[in-house]
Amino acid sequence: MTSSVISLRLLHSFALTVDESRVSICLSAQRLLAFLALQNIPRSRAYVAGSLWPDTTVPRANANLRSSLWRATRTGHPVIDASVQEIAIAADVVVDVHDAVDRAHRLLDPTCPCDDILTTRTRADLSADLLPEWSESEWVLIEQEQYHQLRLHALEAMTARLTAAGRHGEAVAAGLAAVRAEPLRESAHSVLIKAHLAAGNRGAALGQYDVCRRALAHELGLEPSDTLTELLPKGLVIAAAG
Amino acid sequence: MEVPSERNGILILRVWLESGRPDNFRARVLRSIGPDQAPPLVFSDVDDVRSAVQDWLDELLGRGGDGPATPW
Repeated sequence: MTSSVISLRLLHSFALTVDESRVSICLSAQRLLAFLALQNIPRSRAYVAGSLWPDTTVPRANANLRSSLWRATRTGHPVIDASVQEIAIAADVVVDVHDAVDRAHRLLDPTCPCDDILTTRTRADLSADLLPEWSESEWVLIEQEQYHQLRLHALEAMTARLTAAGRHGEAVAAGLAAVRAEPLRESAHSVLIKAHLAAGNRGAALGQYDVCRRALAHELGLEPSDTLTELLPKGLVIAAAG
Repeated sequence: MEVPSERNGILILRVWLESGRPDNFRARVLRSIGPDQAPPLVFSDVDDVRSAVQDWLDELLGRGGDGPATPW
């Protein structure tokens, strides 16, 4: 007999699925599941209650936790492992952000071969923010920012790896995602320009340089660094400016 | 019934250093007061970030007045 595959999506938005069918679950149980998934280790009930309901009394927070736990178990699927003292996300729940973080770290490790993860799915996961509609809680904000920082670097690394592999179209797509994540990062523009140049598209490279130049001028009153300018063939920038 | 205070806010600083240039400091400032999220700010000078944080605190505190903070 095959067991069900339970998946928890936290990138883009929350979704709990069992064998690819979406399971309806109330918001308080969603928050509990997301919190436990992001902790990824068993936590004491007191810690979970205090983190999820920091602005209420301890008895109220504990009651909220019991209620949310009950609602999560009402789904009929074993998504939470709970003991008297501790609770955790069930070990066999597949959490998208765990896999995305693993792939990001692999991309950032220059000694790690990554051919198997240079995929559209990796790019999509690294292009998404973590629970972007849940910015009202401290624990979400911290996790969101940590993932945001990680994915900025990982997208740049992915672009460089795809360029080195001669997969220019995919490299450009990853580079564009890196620039979208932070339009003022010159390192993101740099890997994208290199991808265009490797594909032989000097015009696209110059166009991207101009996007960066205008963003820096508009937002910060700065010119691109010499390092970025020197990526382009000599004379190209001057000719375009003229 | 206890009325929730509007005097709460969130300020996030995303800071990074660009390589290959002397003026390498960058900061993106994300701010909210109560439910109102302000447009992000970006700076390349540390003092500008300090000023932005001070302005946000002043706004949150209502510049010493008793009324709720004025959203952007």
